[in-house]
Amino acid sequence: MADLHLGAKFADLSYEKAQLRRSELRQSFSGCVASHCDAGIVLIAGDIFDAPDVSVSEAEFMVSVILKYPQTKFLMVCGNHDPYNSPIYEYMCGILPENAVLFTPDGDEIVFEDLKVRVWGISFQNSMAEKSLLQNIKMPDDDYVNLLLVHGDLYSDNSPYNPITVEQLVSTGADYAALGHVHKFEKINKSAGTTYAYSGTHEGHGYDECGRCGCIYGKVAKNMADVNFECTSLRTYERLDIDISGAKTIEAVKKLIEDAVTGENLYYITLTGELNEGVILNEFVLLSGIDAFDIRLKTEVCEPYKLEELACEANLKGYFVKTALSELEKAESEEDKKIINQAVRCVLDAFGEGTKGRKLKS
Amino acid sequence: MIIDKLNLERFGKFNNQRFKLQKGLNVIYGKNESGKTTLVDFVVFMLYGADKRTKTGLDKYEPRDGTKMCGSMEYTRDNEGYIVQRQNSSLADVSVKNLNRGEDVVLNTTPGADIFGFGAEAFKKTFYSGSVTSVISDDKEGSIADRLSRLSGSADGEATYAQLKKYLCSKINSYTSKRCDNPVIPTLEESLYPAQKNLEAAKQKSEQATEQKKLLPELYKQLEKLEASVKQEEKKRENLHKIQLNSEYTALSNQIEELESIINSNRYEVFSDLNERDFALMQDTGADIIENSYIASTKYETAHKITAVLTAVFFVMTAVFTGIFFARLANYVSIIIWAMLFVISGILSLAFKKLWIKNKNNYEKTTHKIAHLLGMCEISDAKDFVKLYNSWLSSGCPTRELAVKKLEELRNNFDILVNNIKTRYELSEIIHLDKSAISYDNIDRVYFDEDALKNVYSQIEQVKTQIRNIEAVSVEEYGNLYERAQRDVQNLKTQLDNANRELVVYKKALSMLEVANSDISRVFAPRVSAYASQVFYALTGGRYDTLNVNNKLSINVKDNMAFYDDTSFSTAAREQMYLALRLAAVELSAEEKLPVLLDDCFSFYDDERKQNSFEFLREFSKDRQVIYLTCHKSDVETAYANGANVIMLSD
Repeated sequence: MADLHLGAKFADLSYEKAQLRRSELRQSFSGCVASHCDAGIVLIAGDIFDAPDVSVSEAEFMVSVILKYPQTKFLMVCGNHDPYNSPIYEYMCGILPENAVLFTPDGDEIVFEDLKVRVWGISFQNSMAEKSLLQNIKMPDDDYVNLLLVHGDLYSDNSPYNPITVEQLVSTGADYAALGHVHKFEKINKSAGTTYAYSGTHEGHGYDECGRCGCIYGKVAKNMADVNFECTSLRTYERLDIDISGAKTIEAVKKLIEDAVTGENLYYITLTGELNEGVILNEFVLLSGIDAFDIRLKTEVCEPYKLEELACEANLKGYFVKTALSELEKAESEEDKKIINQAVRCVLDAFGEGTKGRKLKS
Repeated sequence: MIIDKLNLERFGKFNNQRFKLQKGLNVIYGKNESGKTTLVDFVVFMLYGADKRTKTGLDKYEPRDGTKMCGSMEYTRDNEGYIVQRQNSSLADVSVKNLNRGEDVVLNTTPGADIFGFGAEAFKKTFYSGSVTSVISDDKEGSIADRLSRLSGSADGEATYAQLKKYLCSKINSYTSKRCDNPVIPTLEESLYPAQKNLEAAKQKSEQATEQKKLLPELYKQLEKLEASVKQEEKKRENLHKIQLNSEYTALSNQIEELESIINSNRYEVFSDLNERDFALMQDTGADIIENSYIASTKYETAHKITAVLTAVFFVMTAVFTGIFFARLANYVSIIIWAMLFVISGILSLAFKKLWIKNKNNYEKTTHKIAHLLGMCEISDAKDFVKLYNSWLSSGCPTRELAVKKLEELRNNFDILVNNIKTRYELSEIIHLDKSAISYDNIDRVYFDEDALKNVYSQIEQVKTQIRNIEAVSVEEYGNLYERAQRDVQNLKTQLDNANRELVVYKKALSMLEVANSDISRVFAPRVSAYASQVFYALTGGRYDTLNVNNKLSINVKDNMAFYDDTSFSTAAREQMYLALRLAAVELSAEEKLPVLLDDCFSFYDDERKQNSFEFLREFSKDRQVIYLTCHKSDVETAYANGANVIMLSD
């Protein structure tokens, strides 16, 4: 796991919702640990807390979770948001249970003889680390499974947040490298014998962290890691484009929104497509009664295309529309017609502003 | 549009030079290296700048003195005069001013792109013609063909077929191609498999957790039972300990008491005087001796009495038979027999009597001796004496001194034992322990089975761990995990369905676009062919009447006999074909009559072809501007004869 950001402010939400989300951050973490309590080792790759000076209750919560699973080893490093010299760690180190380890900025190696596992981890000393913290790190190549725990930026050479490279990860001799800093899980990577991945945050923190959030869970052996991403978030941030072409009334538009909103999540909805004549998009009407934790609406609709008129144009657009109309006549099902209509809109939108995008009316 | 003036302030070899151009045909003459191509490139520079990003290749005209290339160009468009000014090669550093209204013109991109609707490359390939190579067939980007395909009625700024195709293909690739970063469908499919595995695992965990929770009451019962058993075992151990202490206490007390009594009695004196025979007498062997003597004595007494009676009987019988013999009633044999019996029994009787007396004496002597020994120790029973003697021997105290020392030691041990008892129990409880009140089985055994107890303890630990593990697992959390995994798989499936549907939409869009493009190509190709045929007819002096361009812009030519493809013609004829095609493209690609720049296009032509060509240009340039650059004086003369404005470049 990584980037828990306990105590995050959720500034773009109302006070009550932000408070609820903060408690959900905790709940999601404890739930994630509870549902994987058979794990021998839990690795947390930094940014456990959102800031160096979050409330001590966050550290107490963390410790309470750790205490609940004495048979599981919790290994943690500090990230750029919560560097090692933060007051929150000063407090937490004093109450850290025996089954937890917080790696120092000097880099530490811990060996678990019972599991035949060696873990090397390093914490951020301060909020920035302009040079890679993985320079000249090499774990022995023996019978022990080598794990690496680090918070850093694999994607930018000039990052002020521990710029690391795949070569450096591989040269550590780690069988699995648990990475933190990037909030979005992408995929499990493997280079030489090293499997590495950003697990991403366990719970989205804003509309820039949409989609699945969770942790990586699995078994690691020598030169092999059978690990998978698991979506464990309580809520997700979603960005949805809803094509309202064909919706003749505001109720129909609302129905489309209702169908798209599938749970108590956070939605950023963009209404796209053609706005039929007579339909007035009233945000209050559209969103009232819709069951979502948070919902925001943006309209990027255009006027309906007059296909018959466009088909008369003696140019590519005209010929395209003519082709489409003929296809529509031949279409055997409503679904086929729907697909053709969408294809027409997609091309006509593209005609509007070249390949840059649609000609839109906000 | 008409280019009126070119003001080359600093551009290549030109420094503050001005050229005035007119509507119609303009011929610029200069020898090689006099700057003709530089003039054309100056027009490109004015229209598109010289930024490396535009790839105009004009940066080579930077003045050698280190200053920036700059200049201006005046042109007329829709009866209004404009001036384009550039102070350096930067793409952005350009200003266009409407000279009639004195207003700055807002540019969307570059002046060239705004006026011609083309980028620099497409402009050079359409409105600027050099040699045969830069023609439509060389239009790899397809921009000219696209432009042609939109023909009349299309709005400026609209996407071309190539752009749309590129856009749709990139969209389709973004869904499917693994060469793209994170293609939507493969990425979703890759995510779906582990998500489904997670779902399966979560389901299993959830079910297992529910099943395990059901085991809890049973485990608690088991734990209770084990704890009770341990409690009982502990109690047993405690009692055994008490019994042991009690035994130790009693034993030690007895030992002390015994030793005290030994020390206090005169046994040391007695026992030290005992010989082996004495001791044997006191032991079982002594008892045997007494017993045997007594039994033998009794036995011999009985035997003596019987034989004595028999002797008497035989004596009588002998006497009787002797009498009878003498009475002649019996023979002497009977007398002999009875006499012999009498003698034998008499002898036996005497022998038995002797043995009887001997054994009796022996018995009496031994018992007397024992009684004497017992008397010395004031013990009534010989067995007790033996016991005492044995304890004396086994006490390891052969002397009084050692016995006293031993007693001291025993007393110390006794004190330790008593203190030990006192620290753990009431002394009286141990001393007066009622063993019969302890009702456990085998309570009398002297050891306790620690291993069995340890085993029970380990069982308790195992059950506790099992309970802890089960309790640590929250059925609710596993339920949540399962629910989240279900939601995740469902979301991924929905996303995958949506992505597949979007892919279908984009593919459909692309197929319809291709159909439309094919249709329109079928329409515009004849128009290009018709116009190019007219041009080619004029350029060849009526020799060829048809120049066909197919949908893919490949060419064939027809005279009054047959069709020929372009490869069967001479270089000059092919030059004419492509010029015809180029001019058709110029004519048809934009409604506005834009200037055409021709750079020595006729150099391969013979005089007749040149004459035909300039005659055509005279007609062609009636409503537009044509700028023809040449290094041939004969061209100047022919052009001049066809009404051209001639500009001579100095060497």
